Amino acid sequence: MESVVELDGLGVRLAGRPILKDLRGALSGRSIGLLGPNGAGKTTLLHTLLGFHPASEGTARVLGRDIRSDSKAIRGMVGYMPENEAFIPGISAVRFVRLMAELSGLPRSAAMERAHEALFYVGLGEARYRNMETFSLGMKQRVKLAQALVHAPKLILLDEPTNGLDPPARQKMIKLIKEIAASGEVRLILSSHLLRDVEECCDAALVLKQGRIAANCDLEQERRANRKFLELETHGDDGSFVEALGRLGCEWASQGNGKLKMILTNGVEIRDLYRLAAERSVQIRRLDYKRDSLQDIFLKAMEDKTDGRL
Amino acid sequence: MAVYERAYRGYAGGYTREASRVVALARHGFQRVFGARLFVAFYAACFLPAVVLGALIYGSHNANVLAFLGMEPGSAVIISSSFFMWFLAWEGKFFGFLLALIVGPALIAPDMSNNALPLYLSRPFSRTEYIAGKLLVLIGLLSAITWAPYLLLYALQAYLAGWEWTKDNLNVPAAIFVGSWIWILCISTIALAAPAILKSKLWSRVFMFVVLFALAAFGAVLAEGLGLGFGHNLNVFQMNLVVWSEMFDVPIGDDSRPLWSAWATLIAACAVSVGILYRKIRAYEVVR
Repeated sequence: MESVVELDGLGVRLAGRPILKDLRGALSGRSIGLLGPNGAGKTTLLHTLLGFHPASEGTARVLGRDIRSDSKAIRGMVGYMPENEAFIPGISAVRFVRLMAELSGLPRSAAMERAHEALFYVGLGEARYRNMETFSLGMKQRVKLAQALVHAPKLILLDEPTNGLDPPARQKMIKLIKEIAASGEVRLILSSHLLRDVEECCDAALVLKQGRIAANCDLEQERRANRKFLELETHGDDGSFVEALGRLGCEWASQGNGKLKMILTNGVEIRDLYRLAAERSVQIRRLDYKRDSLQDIFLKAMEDKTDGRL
Repeated sequence: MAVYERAYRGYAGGYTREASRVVALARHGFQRVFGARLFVAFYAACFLPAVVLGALIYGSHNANVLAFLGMEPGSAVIISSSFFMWFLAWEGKFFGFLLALIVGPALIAPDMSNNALPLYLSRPFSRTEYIAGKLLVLIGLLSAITWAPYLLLYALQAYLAGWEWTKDNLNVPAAIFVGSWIWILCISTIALAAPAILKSKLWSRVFMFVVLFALAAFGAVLAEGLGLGFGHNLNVFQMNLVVWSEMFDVPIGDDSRPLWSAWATLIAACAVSVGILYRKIRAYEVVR
């Protein structure tokens, strides 16, 4: 898949302080999670990609365009949902979203049409004529999402989209983000310090730590790779069972008391294990995928000494 | 994003030219200011000096009106370049200033105080275009009460008074146009710069009012009390009048400051205001 963002030694200094240091690598995937503890530089990276902060060293390319020379063209292809509460007071949601669409270059009639559609899409159809000052935090977040996608960008940057939302509102937001990513028409970068948000929505993740890249992983690949690690708990004589597993080509290790760890080889399915166990009168009482969760990846990245390279 | 499907869909239509996006922002600004009935009433009142001048021009050339007032033709009000200048000064210094005081902070302060700038500037829309869009609203409103009606009134007077009067006052249309633009640019940039610093409509208005009048008073104290002539330069209103008097060729009885220093004051006021705007209109401010 074509890279969304290519980082080429990108460094950013704000008020004389280095915030991002020598970032290198490529971010690809349909939806990319940007993870890191507070102050890691996630928001600064998004702002730099949008041209809000100048790069002090190196550069980056967004959808093939250089942030140093093509900042305006990049902003034409990108939708941005900022972290903080941001709106224009005293106007209705539909007027606000329409204005944002017009500023992105949509003609008046198209902007109006898409403003209505975007607000329906994010679930604010009935409230679209209300003054935004009367909106709850969750509604304001959804208006921000509507304005980020109203002009049909190729890439959407979401900065902490679930910030301050209660669980039902968070679920709605996550569902919307997953739908947008699944549409295949737009790619997104989701910045969050919440691992669960990234795990639910993203198929790749970039972990930042103190302004450097701590990990850059393809979550889909990780999921696929770890799918074949199994932990079993059996009851009965498992000697013949593990021998049969060995004959199928599976690696295994016994932990005693009927507990087994094994790796499924290609061509062997879970149902084959149940068949083998049934043939030998062995009960499989527990079967777990043993996989590195995003949390494991994140914690490992936080422990590792980062050198800014992938 | 078809409504019936509630599914995300792309956009395959055309895009507008970049210049028209500035106009879109200005249009939005006009819609907002004219959304307030009180403002519409005030704006209608802003045309009062032009209406009065129009009535004087018409009356001074109408035999019936002069007869009704018991005046002889020629003994009535003499419409001259001085007349145009003082009416325009009344319009600009009072109504124009109040208009800028009301509208300027209302255009910028809400965006500043509600973090809307990242929303504007994350689009293919620059800071310059943002400032231009906001400035366009003030320029439009102020133009409609200054040079636009006064040029029409000049045309009316020229038509009624004939070629001799027109020939004697050929400098007036240029003075109306250029002089108005100088004042419009000066007061508009100040009115936008104040909320860019203070982020509050109310405090920006207080700031503008206090700074312009307090500076003028302080300048007068410097000039009259301490004999420091440059004190007059702190009075933007007066310096504007000095420039206008040269353009309209109307003596105002104030030769305390040379013309170049009046120009320098107005240019400096504009430059400082634009500098503030460029410094403050940013998606995010870096905290040092």
